[in-house]
Amino acid sequence: MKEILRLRRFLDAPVSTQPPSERCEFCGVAIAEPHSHVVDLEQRRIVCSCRPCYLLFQNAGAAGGRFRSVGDRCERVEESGLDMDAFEMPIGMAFFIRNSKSNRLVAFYPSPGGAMESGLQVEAPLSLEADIEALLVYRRRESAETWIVPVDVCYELVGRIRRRWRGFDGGAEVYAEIESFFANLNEHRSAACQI
Amino acid sequence: MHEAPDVDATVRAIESLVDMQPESAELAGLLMQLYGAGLTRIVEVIREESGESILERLAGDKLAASLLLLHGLHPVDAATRLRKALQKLERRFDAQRVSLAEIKDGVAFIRVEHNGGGTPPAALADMIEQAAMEVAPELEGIEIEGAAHAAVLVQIAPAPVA
Repeated sequence: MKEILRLRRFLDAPVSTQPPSERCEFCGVAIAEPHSHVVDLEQRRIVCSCRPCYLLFQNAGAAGGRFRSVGDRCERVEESGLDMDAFEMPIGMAFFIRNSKSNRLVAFYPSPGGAMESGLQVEAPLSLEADIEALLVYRRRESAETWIVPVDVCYELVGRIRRRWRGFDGGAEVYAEIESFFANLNEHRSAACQI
Repeated sequence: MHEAPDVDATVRAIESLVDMQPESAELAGLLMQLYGAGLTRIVEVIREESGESILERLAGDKLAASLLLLHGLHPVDAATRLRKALQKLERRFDAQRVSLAEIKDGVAFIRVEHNGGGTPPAALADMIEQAAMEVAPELEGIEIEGAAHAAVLVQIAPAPVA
């Protein structure tokens, strides 16, 4: 009967009902929201990082060219220079990232399954930092918005859309979410992008 | 009836899992709190329905009793359990009187009176300790007066905060 009492140390340990905090995927230190992100160019994914690790990978070619910190530019542009009618945008939205390996502009659509890559060949006259910046386009019926944002902003948006997506076309909730996202971007231009 | 799990082996398995993955201690704690809260409620309901005999039966079941003890819900207090165990022990040794003087700050003071002959004091002290740990493992220590054996303090974590 004595042995079971050893389990008391788990009962007595302070237990938080909060989800465990995220950790920097490079050094393991706990990081709060919002935190920085680094692009893993080899595995083509976004890596959560603390500020010091983010600063390590700011220059192109750091870590043998594998890692690159996301951009910090966040601005609204008047014209994307892209022919938007050339392709279908399921929910009026797409983002474009220049891939440094293929030197191509790759188009992505948010979808309930995450970001879907489009096979379409597109080119934009805008200068975008490869891999770490994205051109984000949102077309409503009567207006459109075009932004140059750090790539993680697009991934955040994709995540929000995925969480809210209902049914075939996403449903009303998804549009409300998108509107609030862009309202936030317009209002706190710098704050929203302070990654 | 279910086959009773091997409690000691389960505890060791949990401990080694937590050693390998320290974050899982929180998971273990959360699950234990949840089940503990459920057990607390169950004991409350049994009491409200004046099911003292049910609680007594549970206290006599090794597995059930150990879980009740873990969550500070054992229906019989440590002193009563210890007294009963000492009486049982005493019946085996006619020449000695073994009694519980008091429990103070988690330490049980047990008095042994010799009436000549009987079990050697050191062996008796060992038996008392063993019996006490069996029925009241939440004790932090046992002091035996009158037996030659030096008192041994067994370190156990403090009782859970109610």
